[in-house]
Amino acid sequence: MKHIIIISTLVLLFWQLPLKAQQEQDIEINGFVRNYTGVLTGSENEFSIIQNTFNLSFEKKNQSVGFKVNPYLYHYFDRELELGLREAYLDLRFDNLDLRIGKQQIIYGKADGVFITDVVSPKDLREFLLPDFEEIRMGVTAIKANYYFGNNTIEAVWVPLFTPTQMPGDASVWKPEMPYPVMPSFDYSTSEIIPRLENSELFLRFSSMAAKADFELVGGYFWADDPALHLTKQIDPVTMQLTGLTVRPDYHRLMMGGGSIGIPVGPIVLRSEGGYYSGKHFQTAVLTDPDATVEKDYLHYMIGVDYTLAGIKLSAQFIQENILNYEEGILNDQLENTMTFLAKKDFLRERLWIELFAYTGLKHWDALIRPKISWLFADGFDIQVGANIFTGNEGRFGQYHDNTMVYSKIKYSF
Amino acid sequence: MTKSKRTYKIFSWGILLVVTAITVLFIQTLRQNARMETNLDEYMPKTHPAFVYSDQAEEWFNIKDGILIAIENKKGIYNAETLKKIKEITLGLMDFPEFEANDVMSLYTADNIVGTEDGMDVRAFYKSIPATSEEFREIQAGVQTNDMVSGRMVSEDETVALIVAGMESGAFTTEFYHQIVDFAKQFETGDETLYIAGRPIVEGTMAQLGPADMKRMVPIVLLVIGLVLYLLLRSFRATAATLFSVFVSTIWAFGLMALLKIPIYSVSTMIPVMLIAIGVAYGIYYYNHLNRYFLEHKGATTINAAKYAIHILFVPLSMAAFTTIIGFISLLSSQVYPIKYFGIFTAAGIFSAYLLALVLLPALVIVFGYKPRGKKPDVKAIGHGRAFRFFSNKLLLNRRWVYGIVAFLLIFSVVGIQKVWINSSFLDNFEENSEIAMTDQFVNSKFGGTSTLNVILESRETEAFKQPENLIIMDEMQAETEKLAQVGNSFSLADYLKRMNKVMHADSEKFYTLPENKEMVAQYLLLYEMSGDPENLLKVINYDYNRTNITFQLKGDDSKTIKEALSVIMGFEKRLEQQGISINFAGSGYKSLVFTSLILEGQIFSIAISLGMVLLLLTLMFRSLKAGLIGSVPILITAVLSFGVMGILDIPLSTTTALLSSIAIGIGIDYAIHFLQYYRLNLANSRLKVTAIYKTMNQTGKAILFNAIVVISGFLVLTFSVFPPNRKLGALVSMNMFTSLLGTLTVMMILVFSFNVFVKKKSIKKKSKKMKTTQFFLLAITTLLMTTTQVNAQQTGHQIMQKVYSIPSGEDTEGNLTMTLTNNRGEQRIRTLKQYIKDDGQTEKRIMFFTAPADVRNTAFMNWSYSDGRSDDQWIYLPALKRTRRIASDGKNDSFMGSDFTYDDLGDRHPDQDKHQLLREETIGERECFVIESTPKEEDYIYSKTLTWVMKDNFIGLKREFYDDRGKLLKVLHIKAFDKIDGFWTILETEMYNVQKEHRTNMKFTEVQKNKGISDSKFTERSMTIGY
Repeated sequence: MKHIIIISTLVLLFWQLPLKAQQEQDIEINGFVRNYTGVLTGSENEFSIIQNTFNLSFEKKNQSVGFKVNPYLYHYFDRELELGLREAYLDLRFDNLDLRIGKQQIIYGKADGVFITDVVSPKDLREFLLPDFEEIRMGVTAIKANYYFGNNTIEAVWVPLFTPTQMPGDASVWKPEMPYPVMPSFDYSTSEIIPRLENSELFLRFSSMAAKADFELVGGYFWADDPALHLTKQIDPVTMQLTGLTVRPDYHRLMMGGGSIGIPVGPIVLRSEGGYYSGKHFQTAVLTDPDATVEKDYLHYMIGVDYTLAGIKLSAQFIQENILNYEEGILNDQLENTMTFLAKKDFLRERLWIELFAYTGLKHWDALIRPKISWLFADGFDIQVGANIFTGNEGRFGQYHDNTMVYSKIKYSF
Repeated sequence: MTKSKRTYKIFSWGILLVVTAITVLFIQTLRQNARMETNLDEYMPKTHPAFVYSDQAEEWFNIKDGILIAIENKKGIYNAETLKKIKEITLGLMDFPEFEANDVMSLYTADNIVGTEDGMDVRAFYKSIPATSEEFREIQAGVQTNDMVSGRMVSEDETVALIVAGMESGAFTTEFYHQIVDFAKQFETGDETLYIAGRPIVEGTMAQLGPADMKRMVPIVLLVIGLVLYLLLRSFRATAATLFSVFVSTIWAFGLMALLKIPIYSVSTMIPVMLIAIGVAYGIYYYNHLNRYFLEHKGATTINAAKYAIHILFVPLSMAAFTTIIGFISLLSSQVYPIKYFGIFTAAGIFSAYLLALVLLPALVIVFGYKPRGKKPDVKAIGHGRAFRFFSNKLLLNRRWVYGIVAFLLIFSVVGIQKVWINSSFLDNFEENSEIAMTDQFVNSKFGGTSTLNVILESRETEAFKQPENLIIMDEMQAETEKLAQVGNSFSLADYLKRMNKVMHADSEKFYTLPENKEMVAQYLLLYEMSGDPENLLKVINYDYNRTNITFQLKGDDSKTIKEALSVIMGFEKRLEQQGISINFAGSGYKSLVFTSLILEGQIFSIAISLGMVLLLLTLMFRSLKAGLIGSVPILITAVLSFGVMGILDIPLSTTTALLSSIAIGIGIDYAIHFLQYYRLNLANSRLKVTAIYKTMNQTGKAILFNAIVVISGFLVLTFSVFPPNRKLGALVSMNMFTSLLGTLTVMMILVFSFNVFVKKKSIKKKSKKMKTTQFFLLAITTLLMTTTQVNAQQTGHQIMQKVYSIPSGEDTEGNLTMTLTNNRGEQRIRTLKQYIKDDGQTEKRIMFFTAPADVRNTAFMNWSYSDGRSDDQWIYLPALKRTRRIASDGKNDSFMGSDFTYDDLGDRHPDQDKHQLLREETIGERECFVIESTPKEEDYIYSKTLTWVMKDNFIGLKREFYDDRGKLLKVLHIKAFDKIDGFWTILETEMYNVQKEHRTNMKFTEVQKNKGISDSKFTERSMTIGY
């Protein structure tokens, strides 16, 4: 019933506001309607996804105030209708100061396809990394203040409400492998952050955009978006066999400092981004460790290069995750190296795009390869055909080797 | 009179007094100390091995240059009167203090080697004048059978006898010459005619005739220069002042020489030549600026005008003076002292001329006043510069022709240069019908030759030259060399021995050969020593018989003759070497050959240094290697052409002609610096290269032209000189001035223009960025300021494109752009965006917000481009990613948003990147247009050419055709609507049609606003994220 009301409201909005907007030349409405159909090629051509999306954005702005509301609706064949607000905020503008209050997406960093200092907006990983990034990033309710001077910006973000990463459900093909020998039981007693003032998150960013380079310095005091999984083992004292396992997900505070830079060197743009995390929790197999977790500092960085050759936009990134003060037994490797590649070219006067994007894990030589052809057959109309190919058997991408899929997307933007 | 005016006057009088005082002092010094150095030996570097050896050999064998007195009696010399005269002349010469008795040779003193019963005797041909015809016949027979005398002391036709008096070099003076002439004349009675010749006379006459002729000619030169100067400057005062400063600088240069007790060499006569050219130039530049000031400032005071002219002249004058000075100082590298001195004192003179131009000329103007030249009709024409403008246009339009002609002249010169030969001859400096030349010719026709070449053979073994095998080589060498037409005869120990061998064999011709063995040689020589005058033998062999002198008589002293003989002689080097004998040369002919090559080597070296220095200095002065290289072009052309013409006209290089190249450089640099300096100034003050060229041509070009006219007309006077070297000098200086003039005003001007000398990349970029918004098409909206310039029929394609390009646009622009892409099936895609542009002269910032289609809405694109040529910075904001990202800047040849426009088409192209040609004039609709063809200078440009239709009235491009790399029409651009917005011409609609793909892009600009004061904050991250 709730849904029906919401939908009818939206429909009304959709019908009425444009008229109104046109009359007043005031509220800008745009959005898209999309069908996304994916087939898993590994099994018996099972549909992995059939999704209809309706995304709407209402925006109004003038010199000093503005707002944006971006509701969305996902319709699946096998899931409940999903309705949400990606963003809904108010803007206040002053001479050198902007305030944005409400649900908003806040993006940091310069890396493509990886999240290093980009820690403000939590991620929706229910479809792994496959959706558009706009849809992976979830809005957070926050107050954001930007102060501008010259080509520099100082940004302060206060997030009173913690939003965790959305993980795939148990039935999802995207659910990560569980490294447990026995079926664990879950204890969710600590998996909720009570919305209290002292539980809020703070972020600070300084960014400068100048001729010679762009750079960004960021710092944050926040909750890790992914919970640490504390384990309690039940061992039979007679047989010394593991008889039970209790998993207690718990969110921990994190401190992060880092930055990113983009430098043009002739026709090349060099990009780099790095973050230093203090007090990140990792799982360990060492029995003596209580809860099987250990707290370590962690360094995550990327070096990348963009170059255009014969009209093909090329980009490569090297990403390293480094657990400092590493101890034996930690389930993650001390170093995890990943590379990404992008090649993209347009044809037919920017009406046809061919793109290839790939992640490669350098440890297991696993990869996610994402070829894509996109055809804008009329203004606003985009038809995409692509594939997400997983190779390897283990590792971040290899674990999904059964999930290789082909898909099509038909999208109309208005 | 105001106080400051009075101060200036007093100060100027002071300057005048000081200058006059210094000049008087120098004149005084000149009177006391000036000394002409006519002895050519003094010119030679004393330490050079060839000279050291030659001097030594001259001492060993008493080798001296001889004064030749030929006595001719057409009836034959064997009569009492003639023989008496020979005797008297011989004895008379011996009495001259300049000669030693032993050095005078004639039939009277000659050795007559004859056989006797007990061997051989050396006698005189006669002591007292014979009385009987028998005795005459005896003498005659004796001479006839004696090869050592016949053809040497007495001509073979027996009509001429020679009296040779060897003299120390340097002893020659005019008085002595007159004494000799007077002495000889008294014997010119009856049937006898007397001729006086010989190298000392040639050398001495030349060393004096040159400067004497100069002394006579320079006043005429100055007079002519003064006259032409007056015609051009139209001011008596200016002419007098210029000539005065030339005079003063010359006096100072020579005064300084006298003060330092440096004698005046004949090369020094070139100093005033240089100083006249330079001094006149300085004067013309000064009065040219003075006049201009008066023309531009009606009622200006002379003090202000004088000050202004110095102010504007100071930099270029200093540059020119110091470069020229350094060019001359490079002559210090010469091994020859007179040349070194020439360099130093010419430099000193130029420095004086420079100081005088800065100090004396303004002082003279202030003290004596100056009446600005009235506008005479001819002056008016030049004053308005139509002639120069026309000239410049013609040249710029036909630059290929100019390059072609220069290339041709250079090739022609290179061919000529290969023919250039060095001549050390003194005789060649005289006219063919001059007495000296004719005497020489006469003597040469009767005898072996008036010039000598001494070959010195040396062995380590004593008595080596008693060995017949060595003597045979000598004899063969003599015989071989004598085969040369220019070699008369030769004389050596072998001749003595042959003569003695013959005499000892009853005068049988069969025995006119070398003795067969060493013993015989030794015996003959012993006999000779006992009977004859052993001193004579010492002229051919030393006591140890291991060093011998072979004398060749040459019929010319020119380098060709000497070199020919040398090469035959050197052919025997190997054989002599095998015998342990070394070969060397001596004598004045040889020395002057070596000397000349030394001078030329030094000269070529010094030209190379000068050119290098000029290049370096120009580069440093103008802080541009390009300016340095281009500034050196006229100099190089002048030097090359000068040598080329010398080769073609068979003018050999000599000490004077070689020095001309220094003058060419000195003058060339002067022209180049003045031109470049004023062009730089003018360019800084005008937006257009072509305007700067016109202005420079009109001002500096005129001054250079005047200067050349004056100096050329002055030096042309020298071509009427009686002294041939001075005639050549006059002609070559005139030619060099003319070449420098043409080189500067044609080739250099074109190069300066074409290679964008002084056009800073910054300013190109700056304008190009402005143009990006203007030219045709722009994303941006073009605002074109109406130019009212009347279109001159002479405008070149380049000038027109410059104008199109140079039209300024507003500081900032905002507006909406609707871009409609239509394919060959008529399907349309529409893209709209809002755009803001701001250009502060250094950076052009542009931000574009896409408004349609929906999928790109709110995408923002920002571009910063820089006037200093750095590559653009670009950022993109994708609303989906919510982040501003730096992107690699797009290639210029990439399509702009999938349209038919490339980024390059949007206007970022400086006219200098293409060659433009005005093809025709055409009317589109009712609009009259120029049609310009532009071909890119770079090879890999996307278009092989473009044709542009430029409206005549406002210089907006109305249409453009783009041709692909195969030369086929690719795209056509039309301006469909334009209007004046906020005071600027603005293009409102334009369409690009791709003919080959049948695809078109229409751009419409709406809500255009200009100069609304867009804030810098529009071009920041904030703006990109928030949107327009």
